Amino acid sequence: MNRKNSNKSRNPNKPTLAFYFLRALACINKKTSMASYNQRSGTIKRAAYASMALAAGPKRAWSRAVLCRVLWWGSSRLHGFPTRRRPRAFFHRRVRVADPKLREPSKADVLRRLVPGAKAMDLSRLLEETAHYIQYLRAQVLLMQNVVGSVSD
Amino acid sequence: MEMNANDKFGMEKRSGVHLNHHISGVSADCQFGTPSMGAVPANPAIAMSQGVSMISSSSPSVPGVDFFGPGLWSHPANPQNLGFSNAQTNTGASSSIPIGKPVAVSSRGMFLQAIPGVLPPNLSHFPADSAFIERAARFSCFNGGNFSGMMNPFGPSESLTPHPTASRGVTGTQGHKSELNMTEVPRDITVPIDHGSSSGSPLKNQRDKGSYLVGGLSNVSREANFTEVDQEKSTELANAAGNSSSSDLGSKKRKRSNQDMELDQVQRGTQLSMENTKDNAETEQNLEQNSSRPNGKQAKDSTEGSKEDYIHVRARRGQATNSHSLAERVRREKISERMKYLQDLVPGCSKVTGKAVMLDEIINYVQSLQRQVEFLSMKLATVNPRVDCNIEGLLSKDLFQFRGGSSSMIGFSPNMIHPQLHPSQQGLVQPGISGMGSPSDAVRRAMNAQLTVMSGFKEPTPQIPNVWDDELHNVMQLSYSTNPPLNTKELNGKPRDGFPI
Repeated sequence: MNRKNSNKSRNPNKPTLAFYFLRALACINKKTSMASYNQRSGTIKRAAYASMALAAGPKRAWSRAVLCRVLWWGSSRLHGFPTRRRPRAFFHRRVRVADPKLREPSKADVLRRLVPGAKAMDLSRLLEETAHYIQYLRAQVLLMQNVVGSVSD
Repeated sequence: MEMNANDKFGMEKRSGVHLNHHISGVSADCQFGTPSMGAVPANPAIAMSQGVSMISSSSPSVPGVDFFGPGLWSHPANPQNLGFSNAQTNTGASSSIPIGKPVAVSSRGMFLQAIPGVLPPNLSHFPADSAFIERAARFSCFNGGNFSGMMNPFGPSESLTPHPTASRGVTGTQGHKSELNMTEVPRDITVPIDHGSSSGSPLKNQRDKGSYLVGGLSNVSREANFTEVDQEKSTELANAAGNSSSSDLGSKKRKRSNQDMELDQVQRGTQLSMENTKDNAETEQNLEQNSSRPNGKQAKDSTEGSKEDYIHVRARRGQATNSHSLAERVRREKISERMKYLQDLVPGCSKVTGKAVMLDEIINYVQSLQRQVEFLSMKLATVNPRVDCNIEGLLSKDLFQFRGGSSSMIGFSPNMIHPQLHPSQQGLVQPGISGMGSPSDAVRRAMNAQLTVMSGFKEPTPQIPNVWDDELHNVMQLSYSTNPPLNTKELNGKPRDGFPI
């Protein structure tokens, strides 16, 4: 069987990540120079996650969830779009264990909250998404550190 | 089919593999000749007569195997052999059942006597000594009694379909079923032929039955030296030389990825004399290859390409063979494999053992990474106003650094991603887009207009039909723009989880 799990070669594509993020930064610089500091930082943070998700591609659940969230947030802000249908609902299989809120949140639940798009996953899938997510998070952090370092020089 | 014929016989497997890969006719076998094979051609008449018929009926690529089979039995199993040789061709590469020694148990004495004489000359690489014969008999014992156990875990794609009743009829018992085994063996042998991985499983099934195996092999000398396609089997047999090593048997998962490696191992292991050393090496290779398998367990080998689409799991010795527990074991092994991978990712977790502590570490690491992103974004927000010109320079510099062509990269990279993103994303994005309705079109148009104004970038043309690209633009515009007035009411709808965005 085509078991990609045994061949986990999904290293983040650093040039793509850099490209997306830097482009976003340039865009933000042009547009939001007058915005408040908090807004800018929030926007930059969203830009970081969006570029991360874009570089990861649509094959991962977390990248889709991230993009979905960013898009939803942006669109709702722009157009006063009502939040009646969170975009996540489109992408989430409502597979819940019995009374997830009543029982003590296990560590897996905490992880599910942390990793985007991993709310309705079994443990093995969750671990796989976490591994992928960690890889891209680390690449994103390194990239941002590089940018900050070169910008502040 | 060639595979089937080759895997038919446990000992033959390696030769069969060789035959598969060195299909040069009967003479190919002579290449692996061992010095002890001199005695083989002593009485080739029987084997030849039977083998020739077999060979002619079966695919020409496995002449040696067929030779060995009918000759070995020297029984009126020829029709059966012919039948299952045909079945081999029919079953193709579907059998996942490991093949034990095709030697029937019942006529052990007869076989043992007949074997030295019936070894065909083309199997010169098999030493025609009694040890070999005994081993063959032993494998047949392994195979004979546990066909039902062997075949049950496998799905209908198994090549057992030609002889389901025969296999089911064989229960895990010892020699008194020899007659049954006699007839069963030839059929059952054919089944696992095409599965290199299955080579070890009948053996293992035998192990699972424990006492059954012991009783069946009581009069077979246990020699560790035997060439088995299944490295695990050989290793285990070596262990079982003391008739007690079956505890090492583990669940076998057949994976095609391992088949090539095992194939090589099989080929290397043809030499009986080098068996012991080979077993260790091959076992190590098996363990290395089968990352998903527990290290302590013998990995399922797959000498020939087993073409199933799913993983077959065998019950370990002493464990329940319930389908639920098997599935549970598969799930647990998957989880442990992923945890090991995460252990490599998360720094400082090499010494941590246990799922709970590992999960804690992972959670901490993910949280720390997210906090770092937030902190760095705040830092970038402070330094950004001073460096709007620098960003473009950074971009080109980074791209130069990575690719050596900034302008080409800028326009190129989004396009590179599109082909792979497009098909899978389309289904997903469209619901998301439809949720936003028509405003997204307006946004996209405004965004495209704004994009063209952006300097220093060779943006893709706004009319890129790629949905993912549209989403990319959407993200750029909707997320990065803070000009529109904030609507706190909408912001309250943000999900209330730990997600940082």
